[in-house]
Amino acid sequence: MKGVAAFVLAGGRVMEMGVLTDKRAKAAVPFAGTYRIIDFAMSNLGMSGVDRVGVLSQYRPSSLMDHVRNGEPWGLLGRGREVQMLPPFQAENRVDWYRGTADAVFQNLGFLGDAERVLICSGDHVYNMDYSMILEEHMARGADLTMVFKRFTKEACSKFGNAVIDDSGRVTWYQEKPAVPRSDLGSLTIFLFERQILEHYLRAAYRQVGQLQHLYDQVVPRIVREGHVHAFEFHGYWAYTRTIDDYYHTSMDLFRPGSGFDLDTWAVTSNTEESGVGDKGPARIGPGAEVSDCRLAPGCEVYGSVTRSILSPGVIVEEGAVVEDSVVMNGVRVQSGTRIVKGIVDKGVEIGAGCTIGHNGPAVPNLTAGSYHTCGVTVIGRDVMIGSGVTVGANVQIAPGQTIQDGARVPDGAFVEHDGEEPWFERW
Amino acid sequence: MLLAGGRGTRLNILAAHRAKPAVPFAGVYRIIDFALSNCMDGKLNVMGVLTQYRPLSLMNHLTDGSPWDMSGRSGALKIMPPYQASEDFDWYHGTADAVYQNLNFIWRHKPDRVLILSGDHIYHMDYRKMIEFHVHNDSDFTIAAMPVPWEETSRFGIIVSDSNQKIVEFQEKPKEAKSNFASMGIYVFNTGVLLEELQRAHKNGGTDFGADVIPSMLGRRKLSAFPFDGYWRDVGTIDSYFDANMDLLTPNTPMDLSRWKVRTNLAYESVHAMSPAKVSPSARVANSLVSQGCVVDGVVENSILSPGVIVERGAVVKDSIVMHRSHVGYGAKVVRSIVDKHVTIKAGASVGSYDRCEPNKLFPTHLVAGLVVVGKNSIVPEGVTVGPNVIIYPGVGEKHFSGPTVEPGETIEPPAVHPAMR
Repeated sequence: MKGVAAFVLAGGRVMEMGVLTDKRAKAAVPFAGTYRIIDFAMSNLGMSGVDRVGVLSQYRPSSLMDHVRNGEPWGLLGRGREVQMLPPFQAENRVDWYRGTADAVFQNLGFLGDAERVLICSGDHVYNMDYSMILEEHMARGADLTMVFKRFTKEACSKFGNAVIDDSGRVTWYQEKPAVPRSDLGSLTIFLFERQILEHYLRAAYRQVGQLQHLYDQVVPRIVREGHVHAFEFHGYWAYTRTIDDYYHTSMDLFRPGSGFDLDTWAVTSNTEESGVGDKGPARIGPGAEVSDCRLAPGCEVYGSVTRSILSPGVIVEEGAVVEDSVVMNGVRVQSGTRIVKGIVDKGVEIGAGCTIGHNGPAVPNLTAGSYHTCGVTVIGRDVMIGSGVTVGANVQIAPGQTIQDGARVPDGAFVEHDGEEPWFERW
Repeated sequence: MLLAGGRGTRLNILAAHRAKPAVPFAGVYRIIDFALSNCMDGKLNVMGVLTQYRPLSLMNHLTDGSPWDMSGRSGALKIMPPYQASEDFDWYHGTADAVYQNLNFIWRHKPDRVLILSGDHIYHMDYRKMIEFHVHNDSDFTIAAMPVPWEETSRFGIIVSDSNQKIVEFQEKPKEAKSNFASMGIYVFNTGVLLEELQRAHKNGGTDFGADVIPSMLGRRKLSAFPFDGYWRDVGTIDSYFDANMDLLTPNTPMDLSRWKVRTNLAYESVHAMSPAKVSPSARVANSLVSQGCVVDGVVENSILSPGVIVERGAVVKDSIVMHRSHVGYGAKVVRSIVDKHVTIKAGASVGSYDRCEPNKLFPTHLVAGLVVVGKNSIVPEGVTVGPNVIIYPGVGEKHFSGPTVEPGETIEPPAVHPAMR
C-alpha cells in the first residue's frame, strides 16, 4: 500500500477489562495462547503491505513496547518499513496527555512523512482484513474518507458508530453510539483518510474549539456533511475485547464451530521471543491426560484433564487437575485436585492443590464491573497467589498480586481489591 | 568451531537432502540445536560452523546466529563452506583439515582456547566446566569422554587415562579396545597448541583429529580426559535416531529440554507464525509431543508431531515421528514410522506395523528394527498398505506405487532423474 501510513490506536485506560488491564494496555492483553490482542491489527497491516505504522499508546505502554519492538514479527522492519511507538510527549508549547483519538493523531502528524493517505485502526479488535481492498474501493470512489462497517442487528448498533448510506455506498449520515440507531451498519473504527482532508479537518476543529478529542465527533461527522465518505462493508469475522465478557466470548469463539474465527488460516504473527515461545518445545501431553477441544501452546504440559480451553506457553496441568472452558496464561501451574471452570487466569498465578475456581451455575454480576462482567467467568489477576483448598465463585475478579489464604472462600461476584501496598513489581 | 559437515549416510533418506546436523529432532528442533544451545548456555558467542555436505538447510536454519544469541556487537556465527584459494585448497578432507583451512577465523578472534564440537549429538553439557577443568589441569588439550557399552567401543575413539585423567593411550575405532571410555568428539585446545598441531598434521598429510592429530600428540603434549556422565546420544543411525526421539516420551526422561534450555530458529519455515496446537473434540492424544500449528482430529499416541502436522478424523498415529506440515488423511494409520516433512498420507492408507521381518533389502544395515521411513514431499496413495522396514524415497508420488501393498523390506524409488534436476 504505497503512500499509506497507519496509526494503530492502542488506547488509554479502560475500566471495562477489569483486572486484566490493571498493569497493561488493553491491546497488550494476552490472547489465544501465544498472541496479544494487538497482533491482529499488526498482522493485518503487515500482510496488507502498509510500510509505516505508528502505535499511539498512552496507558502503561511498557508491555506493548516490549511486544511491538521494531515491528520485525510482522515484516514491518527493513528499508522503508518501520513501526514507531508514539507515546505522549512534551514539547515547547505543550505538556498534555492525549485527550482522545483526534488529539493523538493531531500531535503525531509529523510521523506521516510524505504519505498521501492515512489508515487509522484500533489495536484491540480481532479480525483478519486485507486493508488494500479498502484502498482499492477508496480510490475507485474518489472518497475523502473510507470507513469500514459491518452489519449487526439494528439495536446492537447503539454500541457502535452508526451510518446511513445511499445506493452507491456513500455515507449520508453518521453518529457515534446513537440511542436510536438508524441502520444495521456498525463502524469497526477503521478509517482511510486522504491526508490533506484529515489535516484540514483536524486543524479546523482545533481552531473552532481550541482542543481536540475524538475523531468520531469532531472530524468524521463534518466530512460526512461536507465531503465524500464511502462505506466499505466487511463480511468476515470481527469481534472485540472491550469488556471482560467480550474478551471471554471472543476467546471461546475459537471452539465454536462455524464462528469464523480461524487462527490457522489467518496466519497471525506475534513476537514469539517476548511471549517466551522461543524457549519452549512442543506441548507435552502425558500418558493419562484427557485433552479435548483445546489450544495448547508450546511448552505446555498436560497430565490432567483439559476441555474447551486455551493454554498459553508453559502452563502445567498436573495429574488429577481439571481445566474447563478457561483461558490460562503463561507459566501457570494448576496443581493436582484443583478444578478451574470458566476462568481467566493471568500470567504467573499460583494456585494450590484442591481448589475450586469458578463454576458453571448462575451467579450475580461482578460487584464493581456490573454490566461489563456478567457472563460468569472468573478472572484471577496477574501473579495472584492462591493457597490450597480455596473456593472462588463465578464473576469474581481478583486484583494482581493479591494473596488468598488456604481454605478461603471467595463468593460469587466478589472483587478482591488491592490492599494498599503494591506487592507487585511493574515490568520495565 | 562446530563441525557440521557430516554426511549422515546411515540416516539414509533423512539426511539425503540435508546435512546430518540439520535433521529435525524432537518436533521443533534440529540436531545441531543441542550443541548451539549448549554454547549459548555456556556464554560462548563466537563460533565458526564448518559445512560441506548439502549446507543449504543448515545455513537457512543458522541465519546470523541470533536465535542462539551469537549475533550483535561481541558475537559472531560464521558459516565456513569449503572454498578455493591460490594453492592446494580443496574440499575438506577431514575434521582437522576443515579447521586448518579456516585458521584465519581463529587468528582474527584471538581466543586463548578453542572449543571444537560436533553438530551430530544430542546432549546437554556446560562447556565452561570442561574449560575450567582444562585450565585447572594446565593441559594442552582436553577431550570429553564417557563410558560406552564394550560392544560399541569399535565405533569410537577410545581413551586410556590415569587416575589424574591424563590420557596415556588413544585408540581410534579399535577392534580390541583397552577401555570403554570413549571420546565424545568435544575438544578444548590451547590456541597455540591447535595452530602448531594443525600445521604439523597438514605437513604430514594428517586430516583427522581422531585418526591423526590426537595420536600424534601423545607423549609430546599434556592431554586430559574430561569425564561426562549425563545423557548423550550419537543419532547416526535410523534406529538410534528414533530411539533418542522416543526417549523424550519416557516418564522421568533425562532429556529435559526445558532445563537444557534448547533453542531453535522458529522463523525458518515460519513456525513462529503458527497458532497453538489445536486438539479437537474428536481427538484422543496420549503421551505425545504436539507442536504449534498442529491440528489433531484423530488419535495420537506415543508420538512426536512437528509444527503444522494435520491428523484427520479417524486417523491413528502411534509410536511415530511426523515432521513439519505432513498430513495424515482420514482413517489412515501410521505406526512405528518416521515421516519426513511435507508428506501426504492419503485416506485409509496404512503405514508401518509391529510385525517382525527381514531388514530392508536395499540397505540391510540401515533399516533393521522394522521402522518405515517416508521421505520428504512424498505421497502415500489412498488405501495403500506399507509393511515394516520400508523406505519411501523423497518426492515419490502416487504413480510410483505399483499396487495396493508395499511388501516388508521394499524400497520405493522414483525413476532416476538427472542429478541437476534433484
